[in-house]
Amino acid sequence: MVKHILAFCLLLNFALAYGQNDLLNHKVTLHIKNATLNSVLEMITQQTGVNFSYSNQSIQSERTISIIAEDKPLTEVLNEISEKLHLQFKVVKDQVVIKAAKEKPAEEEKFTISGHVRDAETGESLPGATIWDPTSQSGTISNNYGFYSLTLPRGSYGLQYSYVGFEQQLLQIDLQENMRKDVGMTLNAALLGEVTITTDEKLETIEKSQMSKIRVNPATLNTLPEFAGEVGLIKSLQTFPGIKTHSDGSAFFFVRGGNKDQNLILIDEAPVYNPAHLFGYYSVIIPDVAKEINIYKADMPIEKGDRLSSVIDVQTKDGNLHNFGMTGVLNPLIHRFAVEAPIVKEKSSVFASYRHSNFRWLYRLANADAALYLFDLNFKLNWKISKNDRLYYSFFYGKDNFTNQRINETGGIRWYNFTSTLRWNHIYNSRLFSNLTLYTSTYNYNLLADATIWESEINNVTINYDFSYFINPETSLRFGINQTFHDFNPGNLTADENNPYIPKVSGSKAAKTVFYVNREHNINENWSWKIGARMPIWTMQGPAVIYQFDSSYNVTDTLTFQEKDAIKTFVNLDPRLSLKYRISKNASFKLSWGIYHQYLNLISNSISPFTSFEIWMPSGTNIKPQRANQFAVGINKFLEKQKVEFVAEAYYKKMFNQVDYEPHANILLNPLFEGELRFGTARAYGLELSLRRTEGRLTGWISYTYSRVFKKIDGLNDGNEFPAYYDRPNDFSIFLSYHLSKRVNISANWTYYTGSAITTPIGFYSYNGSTIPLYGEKNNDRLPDYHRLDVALAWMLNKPGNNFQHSLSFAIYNFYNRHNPVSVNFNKVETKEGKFVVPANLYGTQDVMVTQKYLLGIMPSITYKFKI
Amino acid sequence: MSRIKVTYKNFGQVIAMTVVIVSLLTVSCEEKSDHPLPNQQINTIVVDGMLTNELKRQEIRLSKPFSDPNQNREPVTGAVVTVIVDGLTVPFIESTEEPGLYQTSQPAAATIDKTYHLQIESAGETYTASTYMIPIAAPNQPTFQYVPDTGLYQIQWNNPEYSPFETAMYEADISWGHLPAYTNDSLTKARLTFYTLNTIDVSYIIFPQDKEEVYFPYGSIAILKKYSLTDEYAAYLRALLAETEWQGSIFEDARGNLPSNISNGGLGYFSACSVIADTVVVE
Repeated sequence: MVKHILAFCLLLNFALAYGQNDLLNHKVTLHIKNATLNSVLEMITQQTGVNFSYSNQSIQSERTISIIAEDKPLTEVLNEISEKLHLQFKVVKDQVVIKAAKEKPAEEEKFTISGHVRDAETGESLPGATIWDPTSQSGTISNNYGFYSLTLPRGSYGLQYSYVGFEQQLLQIDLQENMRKDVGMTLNAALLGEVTITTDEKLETIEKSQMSKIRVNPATLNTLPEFAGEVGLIKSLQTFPGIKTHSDGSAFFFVRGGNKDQNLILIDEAPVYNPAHLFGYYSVIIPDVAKEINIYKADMPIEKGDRLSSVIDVQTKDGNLHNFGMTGVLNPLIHRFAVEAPIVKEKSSVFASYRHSNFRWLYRLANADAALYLFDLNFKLNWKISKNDRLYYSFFYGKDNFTNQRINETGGIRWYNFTSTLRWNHIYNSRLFSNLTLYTSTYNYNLLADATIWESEINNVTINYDFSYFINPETSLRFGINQTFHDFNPGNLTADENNPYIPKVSGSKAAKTVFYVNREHNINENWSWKIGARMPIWTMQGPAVIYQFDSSYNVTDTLTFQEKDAIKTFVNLDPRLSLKYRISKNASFKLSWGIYHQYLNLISNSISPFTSFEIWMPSGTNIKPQRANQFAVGINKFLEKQKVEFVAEAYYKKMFNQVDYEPHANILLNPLFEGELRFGTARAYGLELSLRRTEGRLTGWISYTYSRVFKKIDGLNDGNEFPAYYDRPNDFSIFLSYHLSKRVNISANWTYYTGSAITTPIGFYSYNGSTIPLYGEKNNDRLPDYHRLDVALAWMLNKPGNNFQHSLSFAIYNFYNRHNPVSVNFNKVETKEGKFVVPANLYGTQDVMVTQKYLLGIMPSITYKFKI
Repeated sequence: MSRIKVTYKNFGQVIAMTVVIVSLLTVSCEEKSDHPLPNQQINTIVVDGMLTNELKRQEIRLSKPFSDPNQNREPVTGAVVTVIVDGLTVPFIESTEEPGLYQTSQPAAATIDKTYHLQIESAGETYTASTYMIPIAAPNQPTFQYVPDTGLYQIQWNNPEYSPFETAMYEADISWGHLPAYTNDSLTKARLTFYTLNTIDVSYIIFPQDKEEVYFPYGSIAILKKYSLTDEYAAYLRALLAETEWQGSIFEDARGNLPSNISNGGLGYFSACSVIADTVVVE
């Protein structure tokens, strides 16, 4: 039956269409000059018999027209008339209806509201705040400096300003011209003493197509169980999907199958080359110092980059513009204090934080001459020069010192990180915002024994000019230029220059110029996309001595370059594309693809969890830039009722020019160390799932990742693919925080992952009395699975809302004392005291044992915190 | 710059104290593991051969790899072993007392600036290797330090772990079975080694692992030797240390096989070393 109806409809449609065509196919011949429309139509009726229906007034039929047609179809003639007199015609039954063409609507007049979103109490700018117009269902997000710009048609609006943890502000505006509105937001009294996680359902709606980004509220990090008095950022990364830390006590981490040097950590835009204190037990990034932390695992911001796997962007606090404030933390192992105060109220403020270790009581009996400490200092000054200009200056200095300071017998290890940033924010107009930044970073590592010092260093000076142009609510443009100068010392002994026997490892310099542009656009209500590109131009420069190697890694030539000589230049284009489709009000599908290049390489053959003796080297003659192509898709769903956000992302990443090492590579103080490097590819893929609960007494998140990463390196493993050390297929983490009352909070964190891939012997052999392991496939085995539970209880000692707030927190790291090994060894004998040592007597008869080494057992801590 | 004096000596010892302190915080522990041992048959031979400038019956040991590090070595028997130098072929005859040990029939001494070619025929396979000998400088002899808690002595190597000038292997072969108080002991000898390398290895000079303490009594006889190392052999021994003494250290490098100079997949190393020897009594 349905078929019959369909057939009938088709037939009818065809007949009608044919009838219409027939009517308009009549031939017409006209030679008319300045005749009225009325008369022209009458002439056509006379020639064709086709009747016209129209209103004289509507079509102004007295207007004159000239037309010449020689046996032309009626449709052509009518088209010509319609075009000349701005009419439209339509066949209705057996006549042609003519009427005036609809006027195109005039462009709606639009105006822009712009300004800053700030914390009303402290004056601190709030990056990532949402500005939302419920009527037009459009909005924007404040940038890293709290600046926003929203362009809307002329009219009255009730704008909603939201920032997680703050009360929503409603602003009634009558938008008749461009206007500036700075909005101060107040903390949500209902949430005082509580912590919420930064997920804002509107963010997801407004944000055009950003994916693989984790916004971390520093306050959230503080609810994680502490390790020895601190919740370091690096340790907390382990709880997020797609990020794997090396092991207990390590500052190394791996993102989506990328190596440890592929993560860019920025403090106020300046890179930090070693984020570790005490070899990795502490992180240089203190949550209390940070205002905003964003982690990008893909789809990196166009203005930041040149690392393959992640960007961790930390914005430090500006300082209170209204009142003096102070915070402090005391723990048996560490203490820190932070102060903030206005210099000129509402105009300028300062923030400073100082942290120092308290280790001395641990070792003073054992070694009174030892100087073992770490400290860091964060400082920030900001100054509102005018309505449109603001200046920021910040620096970070962190140092570790582990030395013996006896007279005539000084020795040990020291390292420091220094970053310094000067920024000028300027608002050209309500739609154009600029940020001019000058920053410098230095990482220096040295090993000293009396007057002999082995020292390595990397530093950079960078100037970056960045523009954000908010064309309209649907479209924004980001563009800029970045110029960086690098200086490298890959590790040398400081000694008498006349001594010819000291190997000299050539340092070098590099210059990098980057042009970038990015366009974000909402195509319609459901579709939005982002397209951009970075064009880095990298030049390795002299003075340097460069060795060239043949295929057997023998030196074939030695090239000497003078100051500013260009040794090798690379020009690359890194395109990025991402797309978002809104499935529903609270759900979206996303896709991103990008090419990334990296020109800095961390050279270290160590599998140790601790940072030390790594040297940074530029891409150049022997080290090509690393490259990655990453493709990712994902789904976000915000369950409004449950206040739960679900994110699922899958990715595939192919990496080229990956650095690996000849077995037992000799890296330190070896002028020919580039001949010890081996190169190849890596491929990684994975699925990341996470659930976050954002409000209520019970908050937290669960994340699971299934991922693999394989390397294929020329000259290693017979050229066959092998799993990387950080290939851990299953990775699960759950963090829960529960408010027992307004003053008591408990939290727990459980982490599990598959053991890391390691190389273990397939046999042994004897040589000169030693038992030597014999290996087969690289990374043929795995460490035992890792799991750990941490718990914490935070007890606020005063009533919420008091000016003076203080609290005690008790935490137990590795609650059930799991021994998570970092290595399995086949070379130890047991002493009478039950200690495992390396055998020394080659005539020895003791059995060699299999042992495992672990770093941290159960570790309780108690910390007192206060805030004025 | 000239005010800075380079002191290579005991680079690691100077900072050893602070390493102890750091270890207080790194709180690492080692324990016995039930990680399974390998169970794989490997069909190749291991060459343990060092020619020296000492006039003696030169020796080359051949054995097979094994799967349990504590099992007895299985010798390679019935092999045909020869060393060719300056066109002269020197046969190494298998010992009747110790299977797998191949010796020259007469005492002989290798000399410097000559290249020695090893050829082994075993089980239908041919293995070859070449090596050469370099001269050696006079050693700083080790001394013996009395350890009051034990009433015994301990060796004190008086050489640096790192030197850009010379690489060397030091060996102390100590015996005390001749002393009446120890004649019934099961183990009355010790062979200890020490290496000076021209590489800065974190696990060696800065963060060494705990090593077995070896003590011996007053009156022990110690044969002290210093061996010259070619660059290639030094690289082999460095890799050997990485896989034995340094394995599992806190700044351990990635693990891998040693760079053998034996062809056809053979393991071990064929070397030639100048030796300076001295015999002393521990007192």
